[in-house]
Amino acid sequence: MMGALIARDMRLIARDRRLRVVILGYLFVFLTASVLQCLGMFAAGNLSLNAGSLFASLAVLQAALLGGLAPWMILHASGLDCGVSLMRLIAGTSAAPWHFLLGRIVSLGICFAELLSLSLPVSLLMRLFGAASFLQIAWSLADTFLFLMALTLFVLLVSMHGAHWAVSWILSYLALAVLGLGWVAMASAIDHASITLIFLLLLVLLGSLLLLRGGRKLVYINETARQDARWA
Amino acid sequence: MISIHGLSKMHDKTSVLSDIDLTVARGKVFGLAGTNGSGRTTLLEILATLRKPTAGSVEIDGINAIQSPFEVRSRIGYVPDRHDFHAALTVREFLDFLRTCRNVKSSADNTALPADGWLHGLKMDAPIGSLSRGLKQQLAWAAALIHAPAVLLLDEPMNDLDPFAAARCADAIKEMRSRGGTVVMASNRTADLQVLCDEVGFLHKGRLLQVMKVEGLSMNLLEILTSLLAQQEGSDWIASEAQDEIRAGGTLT
Repeated sequence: MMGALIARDMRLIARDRRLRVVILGYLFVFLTASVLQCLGMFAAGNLSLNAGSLFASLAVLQAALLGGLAPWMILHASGLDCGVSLMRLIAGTSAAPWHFLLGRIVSLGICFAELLSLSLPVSLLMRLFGAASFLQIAWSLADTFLFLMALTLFVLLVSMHGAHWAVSWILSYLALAVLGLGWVAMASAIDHASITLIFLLLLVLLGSLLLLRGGRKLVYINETARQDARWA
Repeated sequence: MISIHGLSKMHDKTSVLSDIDLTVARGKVFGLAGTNGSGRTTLLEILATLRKPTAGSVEIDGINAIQSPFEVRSRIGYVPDRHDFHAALTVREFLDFLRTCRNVKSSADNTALPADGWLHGLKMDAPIGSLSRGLKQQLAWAAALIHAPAVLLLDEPMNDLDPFAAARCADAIKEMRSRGGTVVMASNRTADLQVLCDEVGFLHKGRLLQVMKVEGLSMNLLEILTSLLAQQEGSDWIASEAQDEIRAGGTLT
């Protein structure tokens, strides 16, 4: 059942025009910035020295771009199922709410992993110039992925609260700011392994809250009109 | 079998359903008639475990629908009055998704859903968003019958259907009855209720005014409904011209 739910979510995400435009926009901005910075590095000479700072700046740029897009993508993907129709679908499949939640989390995770993997050619170019080791590239991708997944869980949790959509947006971007600042603060104080561990703990906490909340909220149609417009 | 006792539903301090008692036996088709806003859709949504009643109990095939909604959902097929299918999915993808979720291997496993019947006219690779309302209604029927449910809940099931599709739906209802299934059907088309149902209940302002057997009725259901409503609301509740039109075979809207 999970496979069918994930496939359904992935199809909805992949076939949504606005999401496609936004993802193409992200790719365009990221690749343009990468090419421009690479050209600057070649022009400046001393490749191995400049490549090190280039890798760091591209990693930050990627995390910032994806972090900025993530709340919009998650809320938009949630909006593809409006409240009443999702409940009718749930009733029509006899699936438990956590099946749908897990399907949504996994499909968004796959989507973010694909977007992150698009930076691999640039990262490997950095590797060629000796600016970053494979381990550094892996840590960078893993941390960004965990950051995005923590954000995903938080935004889903907020959207499930049934607040007005504007409140969901504001809270989601506030969460982005807090998580982002926390990540920056941690990066200057502790090592990658500790940051990863903290993100994993956050994922477990938010995931448990989400599944508990979803188990209660996604059983019946939510009867307040404002919540019919959203998926939970 | 469906068993409802003392069922009430409040919404925003307004009573939508009030103290409903109803039993529908296996192998029976029960019709719900009433004016718009009488609570038929809410009653069906409670039976489909989509809404929680404020008071009372609902049992479907001996299972408490309020305590075990997921167990009940595996036994029911529901055709809602409006369907918000995902427009981006194709008919095939949507049905495959439902089959997987319902653990149905293929349409051949389900005698209630012959591919050359229900899916006639549906282009399997067309996006659902491109289908007409009638074809979407056929898809809703296919989705409801895909797992051969024991209980079928139908909310305005004949809306937008062409005569051939409507005939297939009528056959499906009769097939459900013959294999011991239970059907509850709400419709504004009292002629459909009269032809297809064994019993009909009249809902008005959330109250079940009367339940009667259809067989042997000397009046048509619309006339009975008109007279019941006249008793409730006074004889001038509906313009005499409209009453004449109803008696001539029109639809109560």
